[in-house]
Amino acid sequence: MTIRPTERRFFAVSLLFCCLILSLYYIPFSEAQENKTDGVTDVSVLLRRLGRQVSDFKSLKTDFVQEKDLAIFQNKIILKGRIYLQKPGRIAWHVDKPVKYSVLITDTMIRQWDEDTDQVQEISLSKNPVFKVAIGQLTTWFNGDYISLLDDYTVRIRRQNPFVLEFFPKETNAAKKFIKTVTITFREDEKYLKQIKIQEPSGDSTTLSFEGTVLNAPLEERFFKVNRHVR
Amino acid sequence: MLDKYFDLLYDFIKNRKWPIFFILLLLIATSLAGLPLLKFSSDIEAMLPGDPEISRSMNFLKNSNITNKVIISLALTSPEKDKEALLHAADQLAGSLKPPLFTRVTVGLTDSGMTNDMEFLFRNIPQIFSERDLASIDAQITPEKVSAKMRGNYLQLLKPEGIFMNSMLRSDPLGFNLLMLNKLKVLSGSFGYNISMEKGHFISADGRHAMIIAQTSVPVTDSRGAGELFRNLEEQLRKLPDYISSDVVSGHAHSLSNERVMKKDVNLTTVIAAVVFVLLFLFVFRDAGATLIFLIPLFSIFQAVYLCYFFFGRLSYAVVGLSTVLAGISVDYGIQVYIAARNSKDTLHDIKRIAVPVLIGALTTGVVFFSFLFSGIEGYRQLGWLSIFGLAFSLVYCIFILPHFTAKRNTDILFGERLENYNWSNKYIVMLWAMVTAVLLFFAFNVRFDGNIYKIDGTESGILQAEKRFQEVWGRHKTAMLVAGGESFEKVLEENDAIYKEAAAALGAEKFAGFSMLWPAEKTRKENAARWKLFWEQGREEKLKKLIEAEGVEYGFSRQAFAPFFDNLYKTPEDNDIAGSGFISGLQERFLQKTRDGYQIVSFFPDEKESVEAVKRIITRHPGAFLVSESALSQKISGAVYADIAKMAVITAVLVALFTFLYFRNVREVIISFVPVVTGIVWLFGIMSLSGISFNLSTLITGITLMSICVDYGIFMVYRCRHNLKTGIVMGIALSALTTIIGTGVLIFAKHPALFYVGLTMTIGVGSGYLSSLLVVPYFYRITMPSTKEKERT
Repeated sequence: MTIRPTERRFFAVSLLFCCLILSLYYIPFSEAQENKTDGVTDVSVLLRRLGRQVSDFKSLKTDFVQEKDLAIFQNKIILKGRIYLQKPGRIAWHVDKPVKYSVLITDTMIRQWDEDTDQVQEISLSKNPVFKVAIGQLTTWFNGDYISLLDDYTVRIRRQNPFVLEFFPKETNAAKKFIKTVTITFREDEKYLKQIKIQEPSGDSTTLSFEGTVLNAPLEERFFKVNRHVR
Repeated sequence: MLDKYFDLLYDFIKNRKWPIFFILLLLIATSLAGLPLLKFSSDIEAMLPGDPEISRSMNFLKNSNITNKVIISLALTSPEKDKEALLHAADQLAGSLKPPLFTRVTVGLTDSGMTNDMEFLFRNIPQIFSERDLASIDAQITPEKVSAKMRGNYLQLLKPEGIFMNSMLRSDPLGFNLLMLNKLKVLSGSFGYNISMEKGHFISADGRHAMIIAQTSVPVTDSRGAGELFRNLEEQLRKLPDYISSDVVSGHAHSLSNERVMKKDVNLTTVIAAVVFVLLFLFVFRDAGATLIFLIPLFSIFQAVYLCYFFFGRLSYAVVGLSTVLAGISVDYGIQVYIAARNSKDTLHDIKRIAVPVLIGALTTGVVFFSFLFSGIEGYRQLGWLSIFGLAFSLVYCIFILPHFTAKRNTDILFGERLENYNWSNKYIVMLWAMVTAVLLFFAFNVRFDGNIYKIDGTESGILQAEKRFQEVWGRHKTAMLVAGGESFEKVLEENDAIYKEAAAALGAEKFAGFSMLWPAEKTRKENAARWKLFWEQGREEKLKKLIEAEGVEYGFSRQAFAPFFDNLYKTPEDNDIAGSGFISGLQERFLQKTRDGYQIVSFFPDEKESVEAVKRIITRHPGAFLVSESALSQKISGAVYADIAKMAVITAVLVALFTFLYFRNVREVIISFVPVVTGIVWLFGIMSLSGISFNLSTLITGITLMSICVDYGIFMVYRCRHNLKTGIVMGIALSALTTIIGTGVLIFAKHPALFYVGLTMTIGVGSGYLSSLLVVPYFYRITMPSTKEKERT
């Protein structure tokens, strides 16, 4: 049997059309599949990878800008300062504007100073459960041990390149009372964080943006002192 | 007439001695075989005074869930291992401690539980806060204080933790939660330990120790149950990794240790004494039949145990242990009878003759144990009956059975003739005795009295060292308890509220940890809530709003910044159930107890003299409440025991003097027969004073027994002097003293302090009493009494 040219053309167009339809069908399906397999297993793999990359440092220094958009204040509050981090367990947080204060955070206590009182106060975390929860969360985000967060948070990938992850506290997480979501934006080189945004159930939010982050920089001991302001 | 019956019985047994012997042997064999079937009580309460206050405190401690705890401290010994390894080991151990011995095991508290509990308390502040708390709040509603608070809130919000403080600060601008935290701090402080929390575990300040609190169904006073408990625990502890060491702190460890030490000591000393006795008898008497002297008291005790068990039920282990002292005393009768029968040409006559002082001696000893029947301590009453029965059996066997099995010997007892015939007592010896006694009397007045019952606590050093290490790691403050009881939960809470109000005023709220500060009775809560409402309605709400607005503007606070606080100011929470999931349930367990008759609430305060006295005054206004304090209980027990012993000592002294007088019917002879008693006591106290040893509970009880032993020596010597006998009485007294000193002297090597003091008392007292009976009594008799010949003539 012979196929006439017009019939051949029609067949080819139909075939092409079917392929197009099928390809359109399969693409979302394969994306969905991919996303479906990006479920728990993929998120944990991703977190492990990111966590490994982000936590691959012994020390860190960075400038930060913190924006507080809280209903308790009339206007947005913007803080500027520096953070120094020395593993395994020291974080120094120095704020320059709008007030001067310094906080040293360790596993067991926090020591803080502010210009207003010019006094150093030491608080034991074991005796202050709220502080303990708060500091514990911050330390984890700064240190990069994100895989451990899967016990207390459900994680969603909001965006890739760079990665933006959203953490939703589980019911058993003590932080659920204070946090609605935590959104972490990674740097494009995935070596550290670019931004942490904490959304509270009330709608208030705090955004912490890191600038000029230097990993494994030598840190002087004076950076971790809080008995006077450090420049 | 008595003579006639004596002769009849003596001849009856003499003519049927072997059948009677075999019957006795059968009885003894049956007693021995049946001993393991008898149940004895290991509860130490039998040895405590029956004072109602003491019984109430002991019952509370026995049944409360405060004392029925075993606390285990795990330590990380390897620097290479981290905290995770420690926490894992704690979880492993906790999982292995199961019912029925361990009813509940706690390794710590969860963060989420604690946060929930805190929130519950904060929501219920209007019901919890008292007048005093409102006064404190009132003092803060001033421009200066509010300004400072606003500044503080502003700074807090800017700090890292401020992310989590936002909603809390909006709901609590003045920091009421701090007032609540202070209350919780006081309550938590009543536990007495410095504890941190980490990952839901109790961790020490140095981070290298974890604590596990295991509740048990075994009462502290049950030493048998404690044994099983600790065997199980030790088995689980052995399974822990090598890099984990453990220390265990528990009241059970003490009662177990005391029993263990005492049993070891009694076993050891019994074996030593038995071997020495047998050798002594064989060496001195050179007659295998002399072993009957030693066996009779032992068998008498077995039979007495059965008799007591039949009449009174369970005997205390401690009582049966103490009855071995009886064996040492009643062996004296056998010695005297044996010596009299051994060389006798007319056994019946000589036995009848020696039976009189033996009987008097038994009566004077029996009087001591008779006085125990008037004791307020059940254990002493049991000991009294056991000893009276034991003495009676011993006496009968010694007088009516032993002579028939004593072989006649022509050989002398070693040193017997020399002792009997030599005149040991002369004026020079007596002068020396008088000088020494005078000097020791002087020192005796300075002997120290130590009323602390812990002085005779036999807890092993390993346990005390473990407790010391535990205290170094976790700290420990001694606390006393005030217990209020009632039929219903609310009634108890109301009573507790009233007590708390007085106690907080008297001692200070920071020193008195009462559940009312956390959750008062419903009636009080309603009053508090009404007072809170009135407090704010009286213009303070408006005043505070204005102050916050005025002072807060400087820091950029919005007009509605603290609206959540004002919106909830008069709100009544729907959730009124205090049952918590975190540390509140732990606090409830510590402060609330369900009893058979209702409920008890416990409050805690420092176990210091001033605080205890203040609480005692409060209790007088609350008849249903009582105090449980380690120091007060120890004092009470000491006081009750000493009062008891004093009563027994007086009864003993009076009855012994009476019996002695009834026998001798001569005041001078009675006084002379008491010379060994006085010597024994004076020398004992004098030597203790010179050695820096204080006398205590154990010394006092033994001292009463010492009186009866020494008076026996005096009676025998006076009897010998009166009738000018050479029947071996001196030898008998010498052997009696020697066997008593050996039998109790070995206790000087005992590890248990109570037994040590028994050994010390008896060695010094019996030794000096014996010497005075040999060296002093005959001389006094000679110079104060008419000659024997003259007496016979009259």
